[in-house]
Amino acid sequence: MPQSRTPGTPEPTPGFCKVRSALRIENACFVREGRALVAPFSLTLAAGERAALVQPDEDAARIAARIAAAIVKPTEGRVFVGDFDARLQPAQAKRLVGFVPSDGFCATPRVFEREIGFRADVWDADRVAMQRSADAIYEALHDAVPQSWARAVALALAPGVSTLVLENASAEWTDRVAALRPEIALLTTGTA
Amino acid sequence: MNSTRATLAIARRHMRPTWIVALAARIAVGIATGFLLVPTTSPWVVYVVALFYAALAGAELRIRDLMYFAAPLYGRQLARAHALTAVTAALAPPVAFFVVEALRGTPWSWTAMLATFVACVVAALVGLSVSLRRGNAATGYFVVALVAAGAILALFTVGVPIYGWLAFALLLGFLALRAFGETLARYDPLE
Repeated sequence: MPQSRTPGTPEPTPGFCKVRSALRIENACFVREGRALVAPFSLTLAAGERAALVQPDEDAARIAARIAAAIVKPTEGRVFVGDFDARLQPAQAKRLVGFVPSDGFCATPRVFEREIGFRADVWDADRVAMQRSADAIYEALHDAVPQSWARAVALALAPGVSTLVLENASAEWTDRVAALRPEIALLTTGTA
Repeated sequence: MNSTRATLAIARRHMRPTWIVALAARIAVGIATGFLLVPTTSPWVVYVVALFYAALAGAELRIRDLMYFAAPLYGRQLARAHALTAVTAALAPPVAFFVVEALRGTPWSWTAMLATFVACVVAALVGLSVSLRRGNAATGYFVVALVAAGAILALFTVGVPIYGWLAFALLLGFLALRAFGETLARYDPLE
């Protein structure tokens, strides 16, 4: 069956298929008061892939993680989470990416429960289902990693994100998370 | 996205036990002011106390919490949610004060009460911008909050018609909330 094509567009390459990335960062850098805090970096992660982003110091690693999680806007460069440009569509991008800060969000079980409720409301999700999902993730992790960090991971994964960014996380802890959720794109930042 | 559900969730998150205690303290200030005032006292004493606590209501919110910036919300949505909490706290002292005055048999005119409430809302909305700044910039915004809200009460006091100072207050409130929303959208939480 003949297919119509706009005149002037190139012929499609045989065998080529577009791989949809879960996270794509193009030359993102962060400059504050004339000082480059994060040098330009690029990366692409598809679903199920992992990467470790090494930065010269903890501050740079923290900022790079937050750039990848669409929380901090890069001074230059672009960040795409799924199909969404984090600068133009931050709400849609943040819906697809989970972020785990190095100190965790949740120190106590009570705070954890409250934050799950908050997250269910903000993500407009079913609270009971999210609580169940978060509890299952926490149960699978809490023996191997610090409990507050396990809660933070559970909180980040509970809304059903496709990408997870771990700020200054150890390789061992990252392995645990990857084993638990092999289908998501996983980015870890750290120092050399 | 259910915006109302998210807004209420953020407001609820602000309203922790420490916030409730602070609200109770504000109500106590309003009641104490009501009992301590004598009929000859200038209403500006009430205005100054109300505006100070209103600006503080915006300034003291924990807006830099990373959880808010990780949430799938736009700056304007976050701004509205924070504003709801700040305005609730800002209105507590004048409401308590006016209730006491009514019980004492010296109620204020409804226009004076409205002017005070409206000025407190504006002070709280401008005061929100203090929470994202430090040092001199924060102090400057706090002073701007007091001056902007004070200007509304000054217009009321000199006899400007209600639609005049109400329109001025609406304009200031809108600009303050919009500026706060844009600042939130641009803000980079690095701490």
